[in-house]
This record gives sequence, structure tokens and C-alpha cells, in this order.
Amino acid sequence: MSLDHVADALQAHAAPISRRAVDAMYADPFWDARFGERGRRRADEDGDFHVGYLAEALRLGSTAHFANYARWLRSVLVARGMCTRHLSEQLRCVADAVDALGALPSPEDARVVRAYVDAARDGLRYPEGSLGSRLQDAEPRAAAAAEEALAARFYGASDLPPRDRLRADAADLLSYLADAAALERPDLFAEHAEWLAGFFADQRRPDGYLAALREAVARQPEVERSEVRDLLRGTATAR
Amino acid sequence: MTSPASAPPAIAELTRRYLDAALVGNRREALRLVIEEGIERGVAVPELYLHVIQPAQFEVGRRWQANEISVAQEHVATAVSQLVVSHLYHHIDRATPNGRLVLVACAQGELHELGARLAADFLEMSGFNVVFLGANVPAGSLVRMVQQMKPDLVIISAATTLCFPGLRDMVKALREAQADLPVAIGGSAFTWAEQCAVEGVVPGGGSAGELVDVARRLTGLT
Repeated sequence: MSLDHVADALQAHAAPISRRAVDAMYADPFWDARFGERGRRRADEDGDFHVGYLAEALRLGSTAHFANYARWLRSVLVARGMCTRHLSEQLRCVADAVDALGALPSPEDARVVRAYVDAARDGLRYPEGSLGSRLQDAEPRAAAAAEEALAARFYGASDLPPRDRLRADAADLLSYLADAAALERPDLFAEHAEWLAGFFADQRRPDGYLAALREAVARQPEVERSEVRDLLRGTATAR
Repeated sequence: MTSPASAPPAIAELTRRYLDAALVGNRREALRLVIEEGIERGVAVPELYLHVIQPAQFEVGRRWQANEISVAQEHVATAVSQLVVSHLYHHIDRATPNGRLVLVACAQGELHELGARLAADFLEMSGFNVVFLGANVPAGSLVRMVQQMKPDLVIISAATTLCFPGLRDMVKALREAQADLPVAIGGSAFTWAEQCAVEGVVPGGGSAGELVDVARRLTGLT
């Protein structure tokens, strides 16, 4: 069945979809702090590209096409300070924006778009059995465990963020670790961790928060492997 | 940088030095390398295209992707390669003309033209008469060119699938103007997508040799 009408409707609403998706991301202060005004412009461009490639994937009837785009884009963005989880969330925000704007002729069309987006997000999994893949697999459980550990460590602290933020911080850190492991780029993780120290201070996380986060993540079984521990500690050698 | 496995060490070294020159925009050195250390030492143009310029350009792309060079540096290097390919055109050996005319155009909206330019030169080396229309060719202009020149084949190149809507417009316009004109498609976009959802267009293959074979077949030479 041709999905041209879905692609056409998407492209007719490309600007508001892209803007809404990027606005949703930028509700998190991370984005402004990490990438600033220039980053926002790039995010707007990326939002337009997401919609454009998604529309083309629909015309081709190929979820693989959108997944290929997502994997290629990851290689670009990870080298520029983002992690896989960020890109996956960006893509989810596009599907959310499509739903929220009622941009498509029917709910079934919106479900099709969501399926294409989900296929691309699945396509961001590293190859089965690789270290990157094992860290990705571990992320939900490990992030939940790290959340518990952080909540216990800072119990009663008035400046402790909400629980979902603790979990998201841990999930992001694990995603950066997975990318560094998969791409053999420990320098990318080290650079991010250095930046994160200043960000957490600006965001008034409790004293010792980053160290506690790293420690909580390091205690997870998947992270205890020596190569990942080295990455996390920043002692792995950059290529 | 990864050099093709078949490239001898001297070519791999030439590629490395060519890349260094291209990345800093040193046109004179890049040109000197391919002429004095390539052509004048018996390295043929196809080998320079496939084992020096193409891998150097792939490496430029990889370095941009990895955030090791800027967009501006990527453009500088590509501009050097454009210049070098233009000069190498004077040195290509042509097979006996086969009497077939091919138009090579980049899809509407497509700004990456180096790959299409190399493809055009390979076709010319194989005996085709080739007119290269360059980047971002509007569908209407392509049709007018076809009506004037009456080619035996049109080849449309797309480096990214975002140009597929433009490519489809071109094919549709060509079909309306001359339904029996063979159209082939190629370019790196087809590493992401096996087809472009247009009936009747023929994939140009994944290499210069395959493209030449397809062109021969579509123009009735084989």
C-alpha cells in the first residue's frame, strides 16, 4: 500500500512538527547549556532532516531507510557531543509532535509513522553481542538501580532532583559509555564527563553528585568489566 | 585512512599525500602529485580516480563525520578534487567512439556532483559521447536538453535520498517528453535505499565498470 499520502501530509506540516519536537527537547536545560544558540539552530535543521528522511522512507515503504539514516546521523552527532539516547529521544519527539499536532489524515497514519520511528530507534542498537549492545541492554535496569542508589545516597537533600531526573542522568551516562565503547572513542566520554561536572554545578545538583552517579553506574554488573570501568574512570586511552 | 586493498604501496602513499594537500587547499601540490607522480610515472587516469581521488574524498567525508574537520575544510578539499579531475580530463584515454550519446545529470536539489563527474568521465573513456550537466538540474531544463540533443540514455545521480522527490520529477518529465528514452540512476543514495520508487528506471550499479556495462546494455551495444 502506498504511503505517499502520509509522506505528503508529513511534509506539509514539516515546520511545525520539527519546531515542536525541538521545543520538547529544549525543555531540558541540558541542550541550551551543552550546545547553546548554535546548537539550537543545528537542532532545527536536524528536525527538518528527520521529517524529510522519514517522509522519504514512507514513500519508499522502507523502515530500513529511516534506520540507515538514524545510524548515519548517530555517527555524526556522537562525534559532536551527543549520545545515542539523545538521538532516540529526538526521534520519539518527532512522532509525539505528529500525534500532538494531529498532522496526519487518520490515527492509522499516525500509527504507521510511529512504527517507522520506532524501527529507526531499534536500529540504533549496536550489533548483537558487542560491548555497546550489552551496555544498551543493561541501560533500563542499571539506570533504575543507579536511581535508587542516588536517592539513598542523597536522602533528605533539598537540592536533589526528582527521581525521574536521577534515572535519566544515569541512563544518559550509560548511553555515552555505550557509544564510547562501540566507537572506541574514550575521549568522547572523558570530554562529556568533564563538561558534566560544570553543568551539574550550574544546575545545583548536590555536592558530590557526579562522583556518586559515576559510582552508582560503576557498580552495575555490566559496567564492572575492566574496559568499561576504565572508560568510566577516564583512564582508557584515546585512540 | 583505508586504501583499497588492490592499491600498491606507491599509490597508497600518493593518496595520503594527495589528501594532505587537498585538506589544506593546496591545489598546486595536489595537481603536481597526480600529474608528476601519477600520470608521468605511468599511472592511468582510472587508477587515479579510483585509488587516489575517490578514497581521498571518502576519507574527507569520514573525517567530517567524525568531527575531525569542518564543513569548510570538506568543501576546500572537494574543490581541490574538482579542479584536479578537470585537469585529468585532458589525460584520459578514450576507446573508439561507439556513436552513443549519454547525458549525465545530478538530481534536482543534489549539490554533490563529483561522483557524477567521475562517472561521466568513465563513460567517455569507454567510447560514449557524454554531456555532463552538473549539480541540481531542474526537470524542465533536463527535458529541453534532451529535446535538443536527442541522447540515447540519461543517467541521473543522487548522493542523498532527500533528492529522490526531485529525481522522480525528472523521470516523470522525461517520460512525458519521450517515453522510450532509457533512464539509469546511480549515486551514493542507493547505499541507503535499494530503489527510488520509480517504475522503469535502471540501477546504474555500484561501480564505474558496472555503470559502463549498464550503459552499453541500455543503448543497445550489448
